[in-house]
This record gives sequence, structure tokens and C-alpha cells, in this order.
Amino acid sequence: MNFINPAAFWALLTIGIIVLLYFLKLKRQKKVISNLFLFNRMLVDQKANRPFQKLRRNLLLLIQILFLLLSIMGLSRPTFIKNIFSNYNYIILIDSSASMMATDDGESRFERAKERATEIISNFAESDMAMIISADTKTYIRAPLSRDKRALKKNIDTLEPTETPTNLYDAFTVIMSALKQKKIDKIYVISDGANVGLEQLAEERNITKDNFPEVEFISIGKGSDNVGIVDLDINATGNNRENLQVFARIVNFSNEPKTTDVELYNGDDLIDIKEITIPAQENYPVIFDDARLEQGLITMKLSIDDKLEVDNTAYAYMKKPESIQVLMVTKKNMFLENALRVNPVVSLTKMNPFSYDEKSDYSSYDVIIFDSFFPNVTPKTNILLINSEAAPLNILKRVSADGKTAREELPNIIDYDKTHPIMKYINFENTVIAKSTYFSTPGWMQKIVEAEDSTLIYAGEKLGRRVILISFDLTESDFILKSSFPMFIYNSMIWLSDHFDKKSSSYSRTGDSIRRKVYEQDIIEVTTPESDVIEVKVFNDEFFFDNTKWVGLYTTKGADGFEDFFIANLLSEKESDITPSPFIKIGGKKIKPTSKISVRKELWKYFVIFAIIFIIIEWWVYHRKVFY
Amino acid sequence: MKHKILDPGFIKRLERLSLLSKKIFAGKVQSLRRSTHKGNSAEFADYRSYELGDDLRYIDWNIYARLEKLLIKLFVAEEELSLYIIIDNSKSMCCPDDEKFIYAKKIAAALSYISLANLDRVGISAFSNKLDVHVMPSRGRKHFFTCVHYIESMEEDGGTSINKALFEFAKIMKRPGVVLLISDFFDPEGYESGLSFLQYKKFDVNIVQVFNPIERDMTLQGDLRLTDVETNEFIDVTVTEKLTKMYHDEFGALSSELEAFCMKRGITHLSAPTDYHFEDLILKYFKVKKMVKS
Repeated sequence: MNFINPAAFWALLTIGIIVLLYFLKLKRQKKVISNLFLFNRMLVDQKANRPFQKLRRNLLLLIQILFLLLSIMGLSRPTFIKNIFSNYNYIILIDSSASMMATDDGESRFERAKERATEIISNFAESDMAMIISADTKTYIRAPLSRDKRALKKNIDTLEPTETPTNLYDAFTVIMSALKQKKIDKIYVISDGANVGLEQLAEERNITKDNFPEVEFISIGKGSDNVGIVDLDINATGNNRENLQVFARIVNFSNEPKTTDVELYNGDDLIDIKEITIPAQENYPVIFDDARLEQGLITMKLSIDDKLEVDNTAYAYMKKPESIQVLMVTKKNMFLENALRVNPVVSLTKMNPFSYDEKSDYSSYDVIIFDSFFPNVTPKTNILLINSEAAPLNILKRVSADGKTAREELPNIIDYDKTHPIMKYINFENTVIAKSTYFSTPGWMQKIVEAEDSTLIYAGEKLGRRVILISFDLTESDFILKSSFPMFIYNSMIWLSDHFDKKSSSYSRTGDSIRRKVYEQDIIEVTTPESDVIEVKVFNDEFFFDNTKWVGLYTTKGADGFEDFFIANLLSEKESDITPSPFIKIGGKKIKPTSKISVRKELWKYFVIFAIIFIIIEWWVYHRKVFY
Repeated sequence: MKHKILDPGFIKRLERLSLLSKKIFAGKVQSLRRSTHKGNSAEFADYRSYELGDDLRYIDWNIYARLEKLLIKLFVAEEELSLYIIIDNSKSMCCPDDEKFIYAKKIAAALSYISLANLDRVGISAFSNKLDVHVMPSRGRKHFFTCVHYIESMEEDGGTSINKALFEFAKIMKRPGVVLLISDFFDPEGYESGLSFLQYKKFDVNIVQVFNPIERDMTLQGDLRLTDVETNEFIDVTVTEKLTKMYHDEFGALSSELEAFCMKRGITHLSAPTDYHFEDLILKYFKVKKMVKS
């Protein structure tokens, strides 16, 4: 057996009242008298001489009926609002973003929001229905329209805030969809008031106060006592980019100056610490120069005790910038060599194909360029293949009917992927190429520059190894003469060595979706900063992870020892500004927060109180015979 | 419990009294009272013609000398009177104490003695819910002891039903006489029809309303559960000054109604609060009310 309202057991205390009444029961002195008929005659006279005698005669009955009426009224749960049988449909939108984790008076804003939501549901009429939506960066319909108050409350109870920014725009987009399906009479927005994008939404969807349900804004939180990290960057400096500079922007959102220590950790080691004082409502840039950083996790922490803790920490992953070790295996390619030498981050080693020893270990090189040559054994590093006669890594050269390599003469370039990193700032139009080789490539090789029949440039990554394949002889094209060529080589070296990604800071924002290429993997296990392990299926050599709710390091693991990571930071100035918004604006209407929820105020308590009063009067009348 | 009802000194004083009746009844036995029969008392009543067998002593010889007719002198016959004492022995007579009942018994005893001393017949009945005719009318001083014995042994029992008792009484007692009804008259069903029926049956009805001053004045106070001694019904009351006054008025109304009824019907009504000095009641009050005479 379960109880919908176990709090009702507190009413058991009223047993005490009954016991008290029992003890207070009038102890009448018993007297035997010679006659009662004089008293009875007297009563008849009394009653005859008083008005409303019919009522008086049944005073006890009347009081008992009144008691019963009040009790029944109490049970019917009357309210002040007239639409008791209104069948109202409500949407309760609860902001679950990071700012709702701020604590006011020891209680988190999100807990307050849940309490208010529960309060709203408690005051609904039995015929009302409510939908629960929580919104942070993403919008979740937690409970569809239901009149099961118990289930709705339970649902609210299970809600948790996330460390992601607010996106009420999406939430209202979902609400707009709900409006098309169901009549919604009122929307409660329980938030600390980040009105991100609502005006834009109103404009896009032509929302006016006439075509949109009533919105009631329940503002949660008070004060703005927060200092947060809103930017974090790690840059390489110096000619050879050998130095690191950690930059952070810290904002004091409160109305008084704040002093805090900014601590910089590399892994678990405290590297540097700075004490800063930030004036009220001001930015403060913090720079750590010459930090002796090693590859690994960089953590910046503020030691301040403020209302919002999540923005006091930010993470980045750092790889100390090093020069890209490139081995160029070619008979002679002056243009390619020059293009490599102008790149300050490239450390070039040149080798003749005859000198290339297949048995040697060349894995210390970040990139090996095979120009018109390819060894029988594929080296375990990143490769740039130019006009290769051999085909490594399941790249198959297509052979024509006569047994010769199939080639396309003067291939006409029809498309190239400008978005790929190696094509950054590259113009491939009007490039003349003598001939290109046909290849059959595995799925992980992406076509970058395509001719009518053949593909001129491929790029792909497998098991951490990146490969670029150029299917034509550079020396038989005018590409090497173009200004794009050094840039293409630069881009290729950077991409192949994964230089930018690892050389300095790299992170995403909480709430962002992470999309990563992985090869020969079916399932990736993502371990969140909260140590939850989430399995993600890989489709088309890509996994998609959108559960970046928490700030911190997410590690990914796959088959064959595959291991990677990514980082999510809040770094949101809007989210760190926890000052409750004075209003939200939708449909051209400013909605100010309601101090008191305009829900049905139930009156049953008062009826119960009156019922108790009447039962006491009944007791008194019964025992005292006050009509004398 | 038996009581010594009358003390000898008081009995002596009673000997000087005799019962008064508003009516002249035709008795069977010659007594010291006028009768509707012509008798041989000293008081002349009429003449009639001499018939054989008449006592020659009652021939008026003077008439015979004058008119030469034998006329017999007729005198007012002095016959005995029947006094029927009916005592209420319901439980209310012993509530709040037995003072009321004793008082009633004393009245009954005193009136019995007065009547018997005047050669009247005295019968005593008691009633509560029903009538109990215990002492049939009889005469002679010895009868007094029978009466007193019965009076003393009388105990309270049951409720009050005056009308019923009087109807029964009238059926049993065919011979009219003086009825002395002693009761507190606390009968919700009333008394009117019973008393009227007695009058219809030619009884000279006299009533004595006995009450305890406590009953009149309502000395009880506070939150009470009052139980009727006869019916065991109860009511819960909170006795206030207002209630006391109302009760007092109600009691007064009851007495007034009884008195008014009696006056209207020619019934002698005597009010006998138990705090009234008993000898004064008999020797003075009864005299004033012409129940007895010296």
C-alpha cells in the first residue's frame, strides 16, 4: 500500500485534540430531583417564546450538518480561482543550465526551481494537465502532458542541472511544436532569467501575445556574487613557437571587488599561482608567461568561494609545440623542397629513394613524403604520397585492360572540398595537370579534389595515422607554380602531424556535440568527468557524442587499444553572470517575474479549521445546554 | 422507615377539632353530624302523620291537643361522615428527602384522628401509578390505630398518576364523602379530570399540596445532570441565576394553576410547604381554610 500524501499522517496529531476533549468533557454533578416536568414545561415556554425555534430545536443537528458540509467542502478542495473544471494544459519549463547550480542562502537555484514546479503542480485542479520540459543547451521533454500529479512530481524530483549554457530558444521551439498538437493555456518559465534568443524566436515565428499562451515567469535566485573564468587559451609564442602562454579572462559579476587566487595546474602539479583583485563588474585578463608546461591536462582554478562553482575551473589539453619532423623521399623535387623549407615548423630531412631502407624505423618522423616512390612496407607514421606507383593501406591502383596503370589525361577539376583543413586558403581552379592515376580507395579516404573521372587528392585517417594521396606528378602540373602550393604543403604538414590540434589548447564547450572520425571501430566508450561510462555507436567511421553536460576531461576508448579524449568547458560569460534577469521578453511583451505563483490557492485547510471549530461548538452545545 | 407521626400532646389538641364538610351527606349510622336523613337529634326538622309502629315519644302532643291530629316530630338526623384520605406515595414524595412524605403522613394522621374522634368514618388510600385502597372506611377510635399503622408503614414507590388514581377511587368508593387528596401534584398528565370526576361523583374534594421549599426555590447550582426520580429521565443543565428564576416562576405557575382550578371548581386547596409549622397548619391554617372547626 502506498500513500499519495503521507504528510497527511501529521493529522494524526489531532487525536490529541480528541483526547483533550475527552479529558475536558464536562463532569456534571448528578442530582436526582422529584420532577423534570417543570423543566420540560419551562423548555416548552422558552422555545415558544424564542424566534427560529425550529432551528434551535435542531441546533445540534444543524451544527453537525455544518461540520459535515465543511468536511465535504474541504475534501472537494475548493480554490479561489473559478476555473476548477477548466481542463487547463500547462507547460512547466525548468531552466537546468549551469547558472541554476548557483546557491542562494545555501540552497541551489535548481532545487528552488524544482520546489516551485512541485508547488505549481500541487495547486493544479484534478482536470489540469502539465508537461515538464527542462532546458539547458538542449531541451528535454521530461514528461508529456499528464494529469498524474504524482508522476509529474516524481519526474521533477529526478531532474538534475547540467554545467551547460542556457538555450531557451530551442526550448521555446519545442514548445511551439507542442502548441500545434495540443491546446496549451499557460507556460510557466522557471529560470534565473537567461533570455537567450527569445526575442529572435518571437520575430522568427511571429509570436504575439494573442497567438501565444500566457507566459508566467518565475524568477529564481538573487544576487550576482560570482567570479568566473570566461575565456581560456594557450598559445605558442616565439619564432619557433617553443614557448607557451596561457591566457584567461576572468570576470567579476558581483557589485564589489573580489580577490582570488588563480591556480594553474599541469596534470596534478601546481605550476603557477597568481593573486588578482577584480573590480566590481569588470573583466580581468590573466596571462601566465613562460609556463613550464608539459604535454597533458592543463587546469585553471579560482580559489574564490562564490555562488557558482562550476565556472571556477577550466581545462585544456596541451602539447608542447615542436617542429614537425618531415622525411622527404624523392629523387628530386625542388618545388616541393622549397615549399617545405619555407615552413618554419618543418624540420626537413631529404632522402633519395635508393637510400630508403625499408627495415629501418622511421616512426620518429611526424610525416614521410613519398614522391613518385613507395616502399613495400608501409612505415608507421603519417604519409604524404605523391604520384605513387605502389598502393599502401588498401589503396588500390586501378589497372587498365592492357595491364598498365589506368590514368586520366588532362583531368578536368570539377570539385574540391574547401572545408578540409588541407584546403584552407587553396584555390585549385584553372590548375592544369598532365595526367592522374585512378585509385580505388577504402572508405576512410576522403576525396578532396575531384576530376571528372579520377580523384586528384585524397586525405584520410586510420588508427591515428593520417594519409594524403596526390594522384598526379607535381612536376607535370602547374600547381607547383601557383601561390597556393606552399600553402597546400603547409596545410598538409600541419594536418598530417595533427600539429595544431595538439600543439596548444583544445577544448569544446559544454553542451556542444562532439563529432570525431574513428576508423575500424564499432563502439566507443566515453568516460565523462562524472566517471559515467557511455557507449556510443560508430556510424560511417564517425562517432557523435552530445552528452557533454559536465565540465572536464572526457576519455574515449575503443578496440585495438584506441584511446583519445576531449575536453568540455563552460566558458560562458552569459552563464557565469548569475544576476537574475528582471524580465523575459516574448511576443513584444516584457514579462516580469511573479513574486507569487498565481496558481489555485486551495481552501481546504480553512474548511478543515472551520469544521474543527464547529465540532468543538457542537461539543460545547451538547454538554452545556446553552439554550438555558 | 416508620416514624412517630403524632405526639400525644398534639393528639389531645386535635380532639377539640372536627371535620367540616361543605356538603351534607346521607350516612348510614347515626353520628354527631347532620344528615340528609331525618333523625332524632335535638334539631327539629319537620312533622309527619303518625303511622303504626312509630315511637310514641316523638308524637307532638301539643299539636294533637290543638288540632287533634297525631303528628310525629321529625328531627335532623346526626350521622357519621366518611373521610377518604388519599396520599400520594410516588417516589417524588421522598425527593430530595422524605420530609415531604412525612409531612403528608402527619396531615393524614391528624385528619384521621379528628374525623374518628367525631365518630366519622375514615378510609385511607395511597396512590402512585395505581391506587391502593388499604384502609376501608371505618369508625371508632380503635380504627385510628389501623390508620396510623398503615400511614406509618406506607412507603414510596412508582410514578405519579393522579387522574388514574382518582378515577379508580371513584369507582371503588360508591358512597360519597369528604376526599382529602395529599400530593405534590408533580404529574405531567395533570389532575383536572380526576378531581372533576370526584366532584361529579358527589365527593367533597379537598386537596393539600405538599412541597419542600427546596423544590420551590431551586437551590441547586452549576453544571448538573438532573434525573427524574420517578422516570429516571435526565437532562443536562447548567443552572444559572436566570434559570433559577425561571424555575421559580414555573413552580409558582404550577401552584397558581392548581389554586385557580380549585377555586373555580369549589375545591378547597391547601398549600403545605414542609417548613410550615405542622401544628399551625392543622390548628390554624386548616381552620382558616374551613377544613376543620373547633
